[in-house]
Amino acid sequence: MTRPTGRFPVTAVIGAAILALMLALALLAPVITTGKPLQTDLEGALRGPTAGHPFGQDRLGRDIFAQVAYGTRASLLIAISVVTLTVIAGVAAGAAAGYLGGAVDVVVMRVVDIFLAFPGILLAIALAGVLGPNLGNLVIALSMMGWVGYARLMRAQLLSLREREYVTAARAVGAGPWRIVGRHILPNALSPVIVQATFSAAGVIIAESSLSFLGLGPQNVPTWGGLLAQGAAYLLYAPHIAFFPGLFIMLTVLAFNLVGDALRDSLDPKSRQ
Amino acid sequence: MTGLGRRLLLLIPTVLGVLTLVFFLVHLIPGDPVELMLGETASRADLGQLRADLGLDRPLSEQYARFLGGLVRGDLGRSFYYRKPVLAVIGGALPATALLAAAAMAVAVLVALPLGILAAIRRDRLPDRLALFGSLVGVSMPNFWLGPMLIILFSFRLGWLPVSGREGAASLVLPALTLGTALSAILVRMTRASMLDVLGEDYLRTARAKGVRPVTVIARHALRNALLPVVTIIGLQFGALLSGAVITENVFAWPGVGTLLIQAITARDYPLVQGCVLVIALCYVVVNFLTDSLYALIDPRVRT
Amino acid sequence: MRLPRLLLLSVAVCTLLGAACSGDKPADPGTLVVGLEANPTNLDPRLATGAAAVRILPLLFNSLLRLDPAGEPTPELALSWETPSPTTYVFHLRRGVRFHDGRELTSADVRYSYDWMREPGNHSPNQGALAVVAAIETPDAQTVRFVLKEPFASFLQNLTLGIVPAHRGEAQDFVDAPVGSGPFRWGEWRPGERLVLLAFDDAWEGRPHLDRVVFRIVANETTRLLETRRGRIDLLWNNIPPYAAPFLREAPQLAVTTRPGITYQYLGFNLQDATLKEPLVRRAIAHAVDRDRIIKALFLGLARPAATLLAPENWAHAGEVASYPHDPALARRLLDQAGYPVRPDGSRFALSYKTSTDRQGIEMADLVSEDLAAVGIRVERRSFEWGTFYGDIKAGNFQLYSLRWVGITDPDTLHYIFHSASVPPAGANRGRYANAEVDRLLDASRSESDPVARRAQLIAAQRLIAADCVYVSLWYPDDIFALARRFEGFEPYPGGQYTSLKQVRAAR
Repeated sequence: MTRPTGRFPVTAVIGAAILALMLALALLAPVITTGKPLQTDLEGALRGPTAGHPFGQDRLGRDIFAQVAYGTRASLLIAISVVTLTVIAGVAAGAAAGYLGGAVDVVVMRVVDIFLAFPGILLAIALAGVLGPNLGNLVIALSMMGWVGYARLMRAQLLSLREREYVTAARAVGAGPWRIVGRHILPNALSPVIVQATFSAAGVIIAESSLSFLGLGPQNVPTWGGLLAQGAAYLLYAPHIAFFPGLFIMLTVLAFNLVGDALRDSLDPKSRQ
Repeated sequence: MTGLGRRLLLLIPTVLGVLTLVFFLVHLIPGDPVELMLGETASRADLGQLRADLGLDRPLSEQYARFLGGLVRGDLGRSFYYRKPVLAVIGGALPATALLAAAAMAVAVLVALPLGILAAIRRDRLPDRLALFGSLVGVSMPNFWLGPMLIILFSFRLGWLPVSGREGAASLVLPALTLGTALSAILVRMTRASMLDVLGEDYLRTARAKGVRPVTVIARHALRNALLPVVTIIGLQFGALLSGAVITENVFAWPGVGTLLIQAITARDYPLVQGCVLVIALCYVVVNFLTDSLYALIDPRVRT
Repeated sequence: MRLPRLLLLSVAVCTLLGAACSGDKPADPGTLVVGLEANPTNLDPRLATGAAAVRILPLLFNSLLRLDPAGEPTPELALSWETPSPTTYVFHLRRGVRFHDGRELTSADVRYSYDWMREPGNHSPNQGALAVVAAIETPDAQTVRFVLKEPFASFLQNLTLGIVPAHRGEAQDFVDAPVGSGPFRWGEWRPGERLVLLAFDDAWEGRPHLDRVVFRIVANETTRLLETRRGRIDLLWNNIPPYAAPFLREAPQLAVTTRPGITYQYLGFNLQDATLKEPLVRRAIAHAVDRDRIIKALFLGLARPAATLLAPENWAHAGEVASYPHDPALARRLLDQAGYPVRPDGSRFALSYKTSTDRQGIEMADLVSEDLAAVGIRVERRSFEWGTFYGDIKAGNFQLYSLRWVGITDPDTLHYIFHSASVPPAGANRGRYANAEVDRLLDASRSESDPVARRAQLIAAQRLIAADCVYVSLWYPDDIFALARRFEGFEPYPGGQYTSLKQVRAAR
């Protein structure tokens, strides 16, 4: 079982390159596209790819390339903020529950179970109804559903690592609980969390698209998910609408995964054999 | 079996928490069930009377207490919209969703376990790459898009399977595939990662060094340990599966609890929303109880 | 390796399973399958609310009168009627009408049904509409007399509610297997999935030609269209978007028909809003909207521009009303005049525009917003889940919104929408419009017994409403329906009712 040697595996470089490209696309959207992304052109409604519109046009003749480019901003923003928020919240809650145990554990895990058992779609509709549908509230809704998975995963990791020799050893030499968790347990516990996180970046984009499909996505802003939802509605007449946002979602997921894999390998000493 | 008993007991606060959350959430969403029920010709007095008859004019805390009281007696109330007991309405939809979820789960596990194991054994080679690529495609396709695509391919162009509806085993294939794909994609990755972790362990290297056949190593030693985290993930992802069922049911005209829930939310049918959420939460809790028990069965060390 | 083989096997099993069980059954000539977009929740005519149920009810139940395809009340259970005074209506019932269980329908059943709906404790959605009734009397088994509290010219429109049997109406399970006297009787009901109605052999109009009508609930539009193309749905109506018509026309077994419809789409204003209460602003907005452009793009030309609620086919339709043709230059002048000059950022003011989550509604709103942006009005379009949206609209919590009125044939609807006393919950005057002259005309039209005078009042009211620009009247989309060629005789009703299925037969 040999791994590519060197500090940066090839696959991770590819992943990072894709992410860099996406970031560039997001930043340079106004430069590389002409006109506003939501500018309609009714003559070109549902038209497939042409020289002027390489990705084709949507139901109202809006340029899909421009929407995908601008959509990169919203979609990456949503994905990254939700994943960051959920990982931080989930890891903190899971670590606290797993390490401290006792009442903290019971309470945290009950809350986690409640959120896990709750249909996320209802929470999303409720938040959209009460707070109004916009980007920020979407991030809140998706984060509220997302953190619990990490909490459970983290707690399970802690439970199994807590009793390992090197942890007991650290405790024996008088290391404080936060030092033990931070220095000895976390680095070893993060591997599945990272795998989960790189995947849930995709999950977040898909969840956003499902809400768009239900008409509750972010409004007046192009997003990949929104385009994908529109693509599903016009699948019978214009299959190209869904293709490009779908492709970009896939590439992004791929990139997140490749980077995540590399990150895991470098964090987890065990898998570096 | 004190562990089992304790776990069973712990389900009660979870379900109670879910119900409390849903109760306050539905009452918080804007929109008035009474106005939706009586239409726009109703007078203020009519609206007031219906509100009083449904108990919706009482303070929220009192309604909550009444809701819990009914629950204890096994009474979930009457659906505002169907004007029938909530249990009767949900009873008609539950088997459809249970069947769909079970089939999707089966699809996911049957596809993901072999693929994940194969990918781990043939790490960095063609099967691994294909499995990775497949799972990437799998997580990138939302149900509302994958479902119609499968219909167009298998029902419309090839004519192998029914487009939608619930007639015979054949009509279950596409919905189960649609709903199971995302879970399958996640499980492939998890199985592979978990397998790789286990394959690196000392005892397996020892076994291999002693000349035990690779197939035996995997089947006898690796699989059992590698499956532990996978089982946990299956349980955890079951909630996502049930949420995904809402859209899958829509695409395939599958008359399940997800469809009912959306309808109930639209109509602000509080008792029916609460009932649907209760059923969904119970499904989730039971499945997780089972996977936890399975976990304990596979790994005798686990006794939480 | 054993594992890949296992995988292959499972794939093979799935494929075989699929191949063995699929294949479309040969179409039964006596069975017609209708594709529904929504679940008909409750098919008790006393309680039914949703459009899905209301459209099916005429097949199961008879009413005193029924609306013909032009929306005019015509005799059904009532053979004839007279109005000895403006507040008294006497109906003479048809003899020999039987319920599906064989019992004869008499005046007692009519009184029972109406009294039940009028009883406040029963919470019927029809209670409000029947508030004008003071008493119902049954001098004999074939005669029913309605006594009204005050004259009400549109009263006959309220007599299209289904009659249920008095001897069954109180049964707890009535809603699970309703019994009526209509051309079809209850077959099978799988909520959310399918409703099967069977021909009623003893229907007083004669047994329908079809043996069975199956209503299949297919909520997803793409799925519904694919099922129809595949021939698994024979009739699709009320739910075909214009761009789907060419797709359905490619199926040789389908006949796709379009004809002018009377559904009225509009842009609603909140007249209590500081900006929108100014008539100049509303007129400017009306002139800014390019109806022709949107009709061409979204409806592929399958809609007629509208200027008033009542469609041209309606007897009370007002032909000569203010119609606000597309004129951005005029719109800009009106806005200048109203005191909203262009600000340094290029806009004059901002408005919020609420829609439901309906995709076509959102697309329409985006195009309207674009038209308004062209004259300097910045529009923020927001779509809300239906219950929230509807609640906000009724509460007057909006600036602009768009919705539609479906199947309006009764001109008294004007009273319900534009009278100052019809502010929700009393009616649907959601924009809080108040014009004393309109109120007077609409009140007078209610008690006017002379049709000519009533028509004049209704037309005058429509002119004032259009001049005040309470709504921006948008268009009447065409009705589109697809029927399998193996059937004939279907006729669309303005409210979307499936009434004409009783005369549909296998094509010769």
